Amino acid sequence: MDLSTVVSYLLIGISRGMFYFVLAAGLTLILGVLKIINFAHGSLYMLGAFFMYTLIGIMGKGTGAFFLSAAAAAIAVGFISLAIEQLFLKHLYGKEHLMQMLLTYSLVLIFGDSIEMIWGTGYHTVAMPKLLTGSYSFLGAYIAKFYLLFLISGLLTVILLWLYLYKTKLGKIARAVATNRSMVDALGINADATFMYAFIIGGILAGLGGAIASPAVNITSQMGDSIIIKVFLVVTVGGLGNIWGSLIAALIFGISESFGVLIFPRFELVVPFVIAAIALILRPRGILSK
Amino acid sequence: MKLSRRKFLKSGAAGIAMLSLPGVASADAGRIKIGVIDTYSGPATIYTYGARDGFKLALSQIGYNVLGKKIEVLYRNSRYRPNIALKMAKELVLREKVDFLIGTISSAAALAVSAYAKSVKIPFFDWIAMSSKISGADGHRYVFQIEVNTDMSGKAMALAAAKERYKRYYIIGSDYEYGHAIAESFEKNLTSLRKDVEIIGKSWFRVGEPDFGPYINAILIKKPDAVYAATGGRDMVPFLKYVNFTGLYKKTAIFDYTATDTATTEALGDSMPDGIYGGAPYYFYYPKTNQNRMFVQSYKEQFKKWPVFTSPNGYITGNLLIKAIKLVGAVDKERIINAIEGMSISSPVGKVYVRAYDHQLIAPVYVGRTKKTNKYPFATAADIVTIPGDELKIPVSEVKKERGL
Repeated sequence: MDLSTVVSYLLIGISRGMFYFVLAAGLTLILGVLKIINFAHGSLYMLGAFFMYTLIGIMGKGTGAFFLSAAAAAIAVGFISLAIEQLFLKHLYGKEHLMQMLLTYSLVLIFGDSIEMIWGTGYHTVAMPKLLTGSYSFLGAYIAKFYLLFLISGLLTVILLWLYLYKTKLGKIARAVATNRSMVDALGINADATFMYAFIIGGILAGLGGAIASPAVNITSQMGDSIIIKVFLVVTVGGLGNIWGSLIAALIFGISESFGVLIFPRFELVVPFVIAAIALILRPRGILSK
Repeated sequence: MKLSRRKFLKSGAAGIAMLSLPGVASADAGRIKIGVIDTYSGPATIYTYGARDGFKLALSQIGYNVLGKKIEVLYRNSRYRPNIALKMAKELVLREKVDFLIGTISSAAALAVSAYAKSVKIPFFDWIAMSSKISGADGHRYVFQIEVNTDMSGKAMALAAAKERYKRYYIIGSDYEYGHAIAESFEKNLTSLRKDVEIIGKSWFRVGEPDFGPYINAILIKKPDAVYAATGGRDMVPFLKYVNFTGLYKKTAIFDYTATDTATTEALGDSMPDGIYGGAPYYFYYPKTNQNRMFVQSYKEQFKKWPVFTSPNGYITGNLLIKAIKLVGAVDKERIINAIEGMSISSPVGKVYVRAYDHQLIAPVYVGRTKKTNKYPFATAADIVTIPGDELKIPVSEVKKERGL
């Protein structure tokens, strides 16, 4: 294995990890702040891809149209999240966890069937913009240009989440709620708005994930099912509700999966699960737990 | 109405008792009941609707009536799950008392229903699932495989590959029954046809893999002359997207059995790379015979869409069944099975027959390369070569060996 191969697999792994992070960050943010396991996260991811499909149909196949559509799709999913939070979730805060799980699970079924009714059951395709087709080759190794999309989206997510959590008042309250809800209430701060914003941000990230994955995956009414398991695993290994833990876990998963294909092609499938098992044995409360 | 616990338990017990009635009563005299179990939600429907509609076409051409009996078809959605398929087979046989069972797209589900059909002696027609185990190792008197199986399709691709100059092959595929079965058949046949061919690498991805990048890189680094991609239904379209936007198809030849199928090319549209070798038991535009033209015309009239590769399977299944019932003159399952053994029938792909020993449909496979033209908004197969079913079937002696006889 020469250096160029190692570098190309490392880059693929980091990009793949960044993609996992975009999805995991939203899920773990909602988990940390609202204390809700949002089963519908996969459905919001799927909606992002379907919105992208429709928007590209309207705006055309240019590179500019691609990025505009991706942003619009993510924001549209943000509005759907707002509706979910205001219409349903809001009434369940403080109720049993089972109720919240039932709600988010029923949303999975509703979104799945609604998507089949609106877009049909077949496969849909979003064309890759010209700018991102082809591969860079260096010293005999390759990396698909498409991975830039994952890398950049991941980096943007990291920066924006950091700004939100550490530089805005809402973000600071969100962190406080995640650590000690009763103290926040005792100080007379209204946590409801924090909940709403955290849920919307989580939704936007899921929608963004769907939009950027859309040119590379099957756009179908079941596309959320396979990815969501991996994302739950990332969130668990990273520590429930811990965003930076998720970032590290996502990168570990992405990089190890990428090298797994190169080093043990027959056993690549078990690599992430072995890592998850080891991580959970060593640090049962997550990588960054104290 | 409020359901008390006592009432609930009572009705539950009654229901269970009903389901477990011993023996299989025959259907009432005036009707012939057929139970169809398949995946009728999600992406698999691009194939399952095809088989179902072909079947509907066959039945509507005889007015859902044979020997003066009305044909009643009950459809069940098994959602790609073997356990649900099995549960539905039991429900159809025990409660609905169907005379025949038909299904499914999933090989695992087909094998589960097949084993059950054997135990209750109800004929079961597999019309999409391709695993060669269905008519091979796990075959029996009550199962019919009305679809070219993986032994045959893998061999068809090997015959096409053997004619090309490529020597160093890389195999990649979906890690499940179908992927392994077709890759194994391709490798076995190609290496026996061409002693100079070498398999330089293999990798398997999980079904529903979200990112093929690392796998494509592994192929690029090995620099094979050609790749055999054993991608199943769900991975077919996204795998070809990666082949397209990474430019892999410009660096190596690619063989992938269902790549040329209309369901695949239609889903990919502009993103379908040119020059991919693929095969299918049927294209709506090939063979260019009157028989096929008429089939396409009536299919389009009735369902407002093009037939897909599974449509003739449904059509053939319906017509085989009707022909056998007419021949026997009664709904006598054992005699109907005897009648179908060795029966030949005309179909959109010409004359096909059911081999008597293993109940495998012997039909041709068409191999071609993808090409975008102005005629359709999706790529079609070009330079099509027909490989007759008799060249693809595996010898009965091998089937016997698989069954341990």
